[in-house]
Amino acid sequence: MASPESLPGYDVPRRLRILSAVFLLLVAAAVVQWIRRPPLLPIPTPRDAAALDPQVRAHLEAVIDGVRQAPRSAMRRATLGIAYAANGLWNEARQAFLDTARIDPDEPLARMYAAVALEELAELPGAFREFQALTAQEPGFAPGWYRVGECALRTGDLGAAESAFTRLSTLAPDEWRGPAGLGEVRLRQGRAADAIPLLEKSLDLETTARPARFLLGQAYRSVGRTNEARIALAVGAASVRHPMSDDWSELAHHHMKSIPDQLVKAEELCGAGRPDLAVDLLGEALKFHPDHPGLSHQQAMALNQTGQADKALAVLDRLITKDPKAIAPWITRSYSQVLLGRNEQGLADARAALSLATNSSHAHIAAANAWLAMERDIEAVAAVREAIRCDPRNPEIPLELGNILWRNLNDTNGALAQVERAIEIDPGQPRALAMLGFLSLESGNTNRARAAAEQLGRLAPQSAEYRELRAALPQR
Amino acid sequence: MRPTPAPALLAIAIAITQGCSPNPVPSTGSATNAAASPSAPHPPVATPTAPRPWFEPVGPGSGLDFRHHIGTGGRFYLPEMESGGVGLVDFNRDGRLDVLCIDGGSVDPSQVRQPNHRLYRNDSAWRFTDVTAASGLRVHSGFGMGCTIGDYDRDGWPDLYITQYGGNHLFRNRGDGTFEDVTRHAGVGVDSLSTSAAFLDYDTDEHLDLIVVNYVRWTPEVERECFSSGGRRDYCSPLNYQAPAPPVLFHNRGDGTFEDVTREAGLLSAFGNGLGVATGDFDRDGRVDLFIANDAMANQLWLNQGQGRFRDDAPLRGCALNAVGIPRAGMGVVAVDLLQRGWLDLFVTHLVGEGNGLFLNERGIFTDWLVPDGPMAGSQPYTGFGVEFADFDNDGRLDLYVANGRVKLGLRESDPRHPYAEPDTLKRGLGDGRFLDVPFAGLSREDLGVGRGLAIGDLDNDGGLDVLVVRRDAPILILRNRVAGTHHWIALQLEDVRGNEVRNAMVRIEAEGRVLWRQHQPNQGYASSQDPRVHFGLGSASRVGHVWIRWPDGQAEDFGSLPTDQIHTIRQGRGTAAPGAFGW
Repeated sequence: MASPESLPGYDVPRRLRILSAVFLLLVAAAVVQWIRRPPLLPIPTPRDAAALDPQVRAHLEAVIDGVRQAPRSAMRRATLGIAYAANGLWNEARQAFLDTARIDPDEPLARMYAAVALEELAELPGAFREFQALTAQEPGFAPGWYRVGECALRTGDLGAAESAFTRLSTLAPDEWRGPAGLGEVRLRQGRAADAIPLLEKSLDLETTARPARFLLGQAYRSVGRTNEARIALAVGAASVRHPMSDDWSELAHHHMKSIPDQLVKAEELCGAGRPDLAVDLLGEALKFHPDHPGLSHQQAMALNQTGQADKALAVLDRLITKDPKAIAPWITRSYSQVLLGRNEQGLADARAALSLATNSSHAHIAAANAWLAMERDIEAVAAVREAIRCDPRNPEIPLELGNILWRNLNDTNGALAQVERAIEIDPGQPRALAMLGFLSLESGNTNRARAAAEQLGRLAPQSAEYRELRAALPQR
Repeated sequence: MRPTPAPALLAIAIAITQGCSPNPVPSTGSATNAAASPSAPHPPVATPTAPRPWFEPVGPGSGLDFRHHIGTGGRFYLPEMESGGVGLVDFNRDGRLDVLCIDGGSVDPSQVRQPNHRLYRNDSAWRFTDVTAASGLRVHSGFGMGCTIGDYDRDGWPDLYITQYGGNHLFRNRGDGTFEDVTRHAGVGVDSLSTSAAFLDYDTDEHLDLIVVNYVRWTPEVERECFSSGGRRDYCSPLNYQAPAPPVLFHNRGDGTFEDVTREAGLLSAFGNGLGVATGDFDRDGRVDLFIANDAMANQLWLNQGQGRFRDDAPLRGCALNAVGIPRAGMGVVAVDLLQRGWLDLFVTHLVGEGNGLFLNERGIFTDWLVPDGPMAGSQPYTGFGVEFADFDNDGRLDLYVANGRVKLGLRESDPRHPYAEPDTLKRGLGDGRFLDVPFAGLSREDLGVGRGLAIGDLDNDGGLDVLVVRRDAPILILRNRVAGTHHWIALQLEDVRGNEVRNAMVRIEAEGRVLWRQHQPNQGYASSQDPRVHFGLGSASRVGHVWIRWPDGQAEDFGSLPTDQIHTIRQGRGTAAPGAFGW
């Protein structure tokens, strides 16, 4: 076997030179990589950690530990920023996002959220400049254009807003905020007729977009379509403007650890039919705040919903022993008692709540609930009427009264009157419109039922109420 | 099987949450022979250029040494955050504005301290005397919030109404420098958490009625544990109590007593956490309407339907919510004709992050107006309370002063020792609704405080409007105008045919080609009462060509030409009838 040296064209010095060159290249690459490695930045920590909610503090400490373990990780820095932001610590959040952007300059979300932090710190002009710089560098980044548009609207810069929302509509044609933003620009320019198709398109993309519906109401009003305006304004009112979502915003929910946030999350879980998860979440929060009455009360409500009224009762007994003048535990205990079949005790608890606050609509409703459980419908109706007297602007209560009158007392006309009352308070309630439809059918007024269905179809085409009502309508 | 709605009722119960989410001018000039009489000549100050800064602080050495208190602190009781009002009133009719200051006191049941409201007599030359004790203006209980001023009994002497948590008080001016507490007799002792109030004659019977705005149905027992960012203990949002308190409308019977007509008027059909009130004929139908600014809830625009009935038309007319349907934290509010065309706009101060808002009145329909250099521009970093538009530099254009101060701990603190403190805002009007920020709110350096009640008026009758700000748990801020300079001005004291005070008259003047509008209503802003005289800055115009007035009863008069740099008393019926002058 021939040695390599003996092979033709193979000379040792050349081979060494190649190896040396490769080695040098590797070393150079390593040096360049070392030089260009993400900087080791200090970790932003809360300014006044001792004053923080203990659960928030514990959570932030865990996230900070994660950053310490990998201080050059852009994602861990971003997670820290998100955790700060989720708990309202926007100074710290901004620093964490700026750090993320330094570590990973190619991540537009880092720069966007650094600017969002500035916006949250009420420094609108600075935030606007940063959003504009971001979109100049990242012209295909749709969330950035959304932020430019929103910020421009808030500062009254309609030209910039129009450009931004036009761009957003191109980049994200399924995003309702694009045409909604352009619709708002047209409205502010006094061009209501031009705003209408844009806002209608926005609602086609997202039926539940309440800001778009409110804007549409203003546009209808401006062109004299008063009745439609009245409904759209009522349905779109009292909305919350949620920003366009992105990969990071979806994560924020997991980092919200303050007591108010825990309560809101628990309410949302109960509303979404997952009271079991609410019980777990509140149990975790109670480890940090074992004596917090709000958390305990919310837990009792969630326990009621999971069918564990006996456990709820134990929690509520403790709360009532501790503060017998607190109304809410009495009310919730009334429901627990009824769920356990102790209707008389349920009524007694509701009356105890009423003795503390005679004008509490909730206490009257708890009493109604107990009466209903005892099959004492007339007394229940009287209790719900008292609740309406205490809270005349709550559309849910006349709806409940209508339901009792209809289902339990076969009083269709009485029920209709209550449903009409609820619709007068809130013309956009799907449940009220559905009830109006069914009651109209029952009273033989098919035209009114159809009108209710049409209205419901415009407001909530995907709702179960709409499907059911449409199915119940006779074929033309 | 019998259906049971119980689960649905349970669903309503789920919504129960316990936790936290979060003055007449000098009578020296007789008005008997003239349509309008100059009562005190005030030659312009011979300063060639307007000096900067705009204001000079006046210290407690002036005798106006009021200090607002909120008690011991540390428990975060809701009323502590909204307390503090100031009223300008010429209670002794010497032609000089006196000052009523509203204290808090202590709302903590374990630290009871009665509110120490003060009345200061203006002795001229920026000297004041505390005449509280001699005046009989003593409140023995409650927690002070604000005040409003009006001559409810038409005796020519302005009376004082003080809003409180724990019972409001009406003090009748006896005309001898003393007051008597007539609350019980008059029937105006609202037992709520009252904030702003205003006298107006909504039924044009010539007797001043009273609207009282209430905040939350609150007692110390319902106080909650609330938090700011990161979970720090802090004051609660009114939403945490889920207990907005309805306003109370009192009809003046004309015999020294009032009747509560809130329900009959329809005002119970919609209400929120009320903090501010402004009155005026917003739809130009000849009747005075009400606008109530609510904290974190929809505002109400109560359009006067006549016959003592009102209808809330804010949702449809566009001033209930912001442009996209979101309620804001309405605090102070003023009715102002920003664009000077005879329509009353509404400017509302709001919470940090929201920015103040102008509802521009376009023929009775309001637009949440947003322009880069508008009066709302740059207000997002602050929480506004007291507010008033006034022509400080007498250039003929309205300027804007806002008293700022937080209600929640902030993300950035201007002064770590006073975490709720903020600088006030002063904007110089450029006309056409455009404004320019005046550095340090017209002072030589930044001055921080938790601003609440604001009153603007000409305390030294020199034609320059001065500023008073009651600051939470701090000494009053007194700012003497130094910017009015050589510009001309005119001030009008309006009286009805019997020489009594009127409200909500519209005044239009023409001076060297420029037309200016004002509404006469001193009871606006936040929990405060302004200079009862109507002031116009005139710039270089040395003569007012015409003064037209549309009186609350709908009659319009032309008072002809008036000399400038004077305070005039204008009495209804002494002008020339001008039925078409206003067009409505």
